[in-house]
Amino acid sequence: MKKWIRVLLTAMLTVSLAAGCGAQAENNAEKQDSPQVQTGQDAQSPNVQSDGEKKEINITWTNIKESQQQVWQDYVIKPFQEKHPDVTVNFQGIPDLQNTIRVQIGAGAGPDMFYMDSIDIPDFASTGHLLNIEPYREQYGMDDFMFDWAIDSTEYKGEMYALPHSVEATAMTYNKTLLDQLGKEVPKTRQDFVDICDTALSAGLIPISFGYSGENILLTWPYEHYITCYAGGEKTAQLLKGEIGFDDPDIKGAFALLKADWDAGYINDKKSGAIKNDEARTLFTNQKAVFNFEGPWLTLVDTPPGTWEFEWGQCAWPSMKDGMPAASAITLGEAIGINADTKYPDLCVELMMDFYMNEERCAQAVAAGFSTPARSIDASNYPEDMPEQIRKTLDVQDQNMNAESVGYAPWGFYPSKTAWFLNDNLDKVFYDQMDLDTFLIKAQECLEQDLADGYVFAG
Amino acid sequence: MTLMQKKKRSKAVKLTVAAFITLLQIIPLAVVLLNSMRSNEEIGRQLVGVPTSFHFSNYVQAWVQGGYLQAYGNSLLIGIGSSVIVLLIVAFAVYGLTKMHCFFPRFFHTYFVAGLAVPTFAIIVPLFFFFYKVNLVNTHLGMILIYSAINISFNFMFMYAFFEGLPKELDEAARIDGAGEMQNFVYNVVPLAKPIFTSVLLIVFVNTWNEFLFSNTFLQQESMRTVSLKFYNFVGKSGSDFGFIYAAAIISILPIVVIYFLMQDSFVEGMTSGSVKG
Amino acid sequence: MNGLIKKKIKGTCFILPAFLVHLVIVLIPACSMFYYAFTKWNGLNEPQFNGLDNFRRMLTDYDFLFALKNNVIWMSIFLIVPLILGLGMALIFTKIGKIQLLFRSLCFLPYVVSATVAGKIFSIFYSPYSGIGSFFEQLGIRGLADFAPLGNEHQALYAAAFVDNWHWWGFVLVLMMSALHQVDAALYEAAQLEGANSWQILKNVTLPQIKPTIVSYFVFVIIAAFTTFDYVWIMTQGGPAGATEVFSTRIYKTTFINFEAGYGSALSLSVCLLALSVYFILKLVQKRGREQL
Repeated sequence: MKKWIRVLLTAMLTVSLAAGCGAQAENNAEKQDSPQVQTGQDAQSPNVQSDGEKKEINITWTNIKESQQQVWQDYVIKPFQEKHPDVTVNFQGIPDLQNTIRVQIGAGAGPDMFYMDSIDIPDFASTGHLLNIEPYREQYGMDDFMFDWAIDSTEYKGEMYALPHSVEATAMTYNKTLLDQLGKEVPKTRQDFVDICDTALSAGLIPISFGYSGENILLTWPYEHYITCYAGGEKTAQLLKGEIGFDDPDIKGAFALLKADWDAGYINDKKSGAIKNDEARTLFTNQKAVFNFEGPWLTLVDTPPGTWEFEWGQCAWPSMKDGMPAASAITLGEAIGINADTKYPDLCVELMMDFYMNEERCAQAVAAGFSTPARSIDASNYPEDMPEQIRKTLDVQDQNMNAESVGYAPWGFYPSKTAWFLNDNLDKVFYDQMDLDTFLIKAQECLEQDLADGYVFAG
Repeated sequence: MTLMQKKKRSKAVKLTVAAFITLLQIIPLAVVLLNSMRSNEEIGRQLVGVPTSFHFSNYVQAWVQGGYLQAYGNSLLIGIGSSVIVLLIVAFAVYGLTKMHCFFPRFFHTYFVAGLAVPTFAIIVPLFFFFYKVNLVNTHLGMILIYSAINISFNFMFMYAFFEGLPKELDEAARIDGAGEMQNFVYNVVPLAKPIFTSVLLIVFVNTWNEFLFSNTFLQQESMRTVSLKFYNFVGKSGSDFGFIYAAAIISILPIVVIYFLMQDSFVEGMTSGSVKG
Repeated sequence: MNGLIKKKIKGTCFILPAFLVHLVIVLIPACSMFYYAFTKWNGLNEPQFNGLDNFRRMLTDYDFLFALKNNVIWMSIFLIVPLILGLGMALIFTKIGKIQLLFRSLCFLPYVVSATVAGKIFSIFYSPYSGIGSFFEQLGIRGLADFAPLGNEHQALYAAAFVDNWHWWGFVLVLMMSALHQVDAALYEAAQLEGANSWQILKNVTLPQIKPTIVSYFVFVIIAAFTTFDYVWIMTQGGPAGATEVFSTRIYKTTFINFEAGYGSALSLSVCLLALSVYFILKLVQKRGREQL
């Protein structure tokens, strides 16, 4: 018996080994086939084009779900491949994208197109690794239909170096059912907010579900909300331009308030450091929490419609100070960088522009669970059967984007050293390992360093 | 109490302790196995429990979405390549240092052990630049070379300690008989060193199978990526779907467990020939 | 003398393959770490030479300097716990007959589980809402229900070390069993004939015989503790609030998240030199110890 097991297992291993060798052979064959000649294509022509040579475009993205990759395939890639049968578009999502991409690009390797955070654009552009998009800007009339502030975020020294892929307006997500049970209304002011949090705590609920274990970068959500709704967008802009410092009473007040709320147990009962974001989301899904820091991406992309068995809503984070309005921070969420060394720059730009310029296709993609493109989409384009969850989120997002007072999200506007310092050290303030004043002084040092290094506020 | 009874009681106590600790050791894995067959909702309600009904859908989901077959092949190829190479070059190096005359023996010994002080991810960036220039990025061979190199120091240390403890009489006898070094190695040393050799093979294979940092950076194409990368990918996507994560975990570790049990036999031979007394 | 030189050449040839592979793949890239340590570099641009600035910065980088404390704690844990478990169990196993093979296989099993898998699994176990804490809460045992070590700045490092230990001591067990196997049975018989009891045999026969293995183990743990990364990173990323920060998490964040590859190289270099210094001091102590005999 044991002998047969051994034989069987050895056979299975051999088969797998063959599969592995096959991968290597495939890989080598592809290397030999890829053509060295660059071909230009007339971007406006709708006809099927092919000149016989096999071309390949590689897109690397963050580790997104299968369902989201499917939307990419259906609405972006397939139509393009129908138009260009000689081009294969490979889309892959990998974990730890930002680190790996930088190493690959730095070495001169890397995919043709890749996801970027707008704050990384200066680094890549200044070293000549990103394709200059300026030549295509007028050709495609980008300024005519894409949000100007989104385009601004992709500029380096006045020229576009990436494509603005998606935008977002931060928001508060709330559990309406629980609010009703507590006998409260959707909060608009600080008093409303505190009242609800206290009531929730006494009812044994978590006021705001939030987990950041192993992902300090998520701390940007809380402090963005508090800065935007306590100090306001204008003050944020002044801070990032270097006109005021972190010791400004409004900026300091925002952080102090955040710390006070943490101490009061509003933020996941001080357990945020012990749980991951996924768990925090599960808590919200299981109706253990009233609020969530996450905004539109939670309901547009990350939570399949129908998951939540309660009434929910989204709104701008409430005012955190008398006299300040409830406000959202709007920002470029995702940008697409095109490798300066790509063999097919025209095709890469065409791939994305065909999608962005097609309002109907954008609408259908969003309805299927895609991030909101950096352009306005008339509501009539959305399919009839679009999930209610998505429609609702889009309505709220539109409202927030067009509001009078808006803030600036750290992941789109803050300089990298400062943002990193804040993310890395905010929880030290929470855990009383660092006092607030020291924290702010050091943050200011980072900001001054960034400004000296050439950071320019893009807002 | 007679000596016999004392001995029996002592043995019983030792048996209990051994069994208890072994149980503690495998409980987490047992939980993983059991939970991989429960649905996500069940796990959400109660962390540990016997499955009320067996959900193999977790496995189907994890397998289909993970693209594991090719990943198995890649991991196997790289794993076997690395472990065999490490075994050969380290065994020869240790043999040379302990049983033969060499130039600068102390330098070499120190060099290999000092290799442990280099943090592996510190070399990722320059190594990537270097490999890209020589076209070794995204290849099995490149990964095999990398893993062979970074596993040298660790296995060198333990093999060295083992070889130091080998009796010298056999070598001397062989040399007097006029045997060449290779013959001595094959006929005298290998049989005695079998347990440490199998250990080294297993250790390098396991380390290679499970390695993540280097493979994520160097293996860019989907078709070349390994099992550990697939797991990390999958976990990133599945969030709180614990059932899927547990199933994916079992899928990732199953082949190694199989290989480990297959290699047990040679382990056993080495262990029990000449009963282990203490 | 020619004969000896010929022998030496032959011997050195045996060593060369391992030496060359290691040199090319590990040492030479490590040398560029030496170069980048004196530059300002973000991975993309041309490295700019900036002299000793990185090192001056390091001297006031308290996040980095205090990481030493955690590395030392980690080292202490791993010098003691896996050795006692591994050696202790190896000795016990020798006395319980054939079943030791089953136990050994099972104890070794966690070693083959990757750090990502083990880290993910134990993170789930450690969670306050879906882990052991909530399990006890459901059972009604209030005292243990607050168990959420990864969020507790005093417990987090030990929680991560526990997982690494769970993974690692099975290997130490096998290592010790190999070493014990090597001991000449005749020595035990001789000792027993002289009427020695178990403790005396352990102290005077077993331990001295397996000394090389134990010493290697210590040396390995001491050096490797400076570069420990996987389990801390996967479970806490150095958090919460920097409580589990070790050298390598600090270096990783500096190099790959803040993209200060030049400064990160300086940090790597310093850690490397520190580990090497400790190793050489140990060797010196060993040598002195031998000379005194």
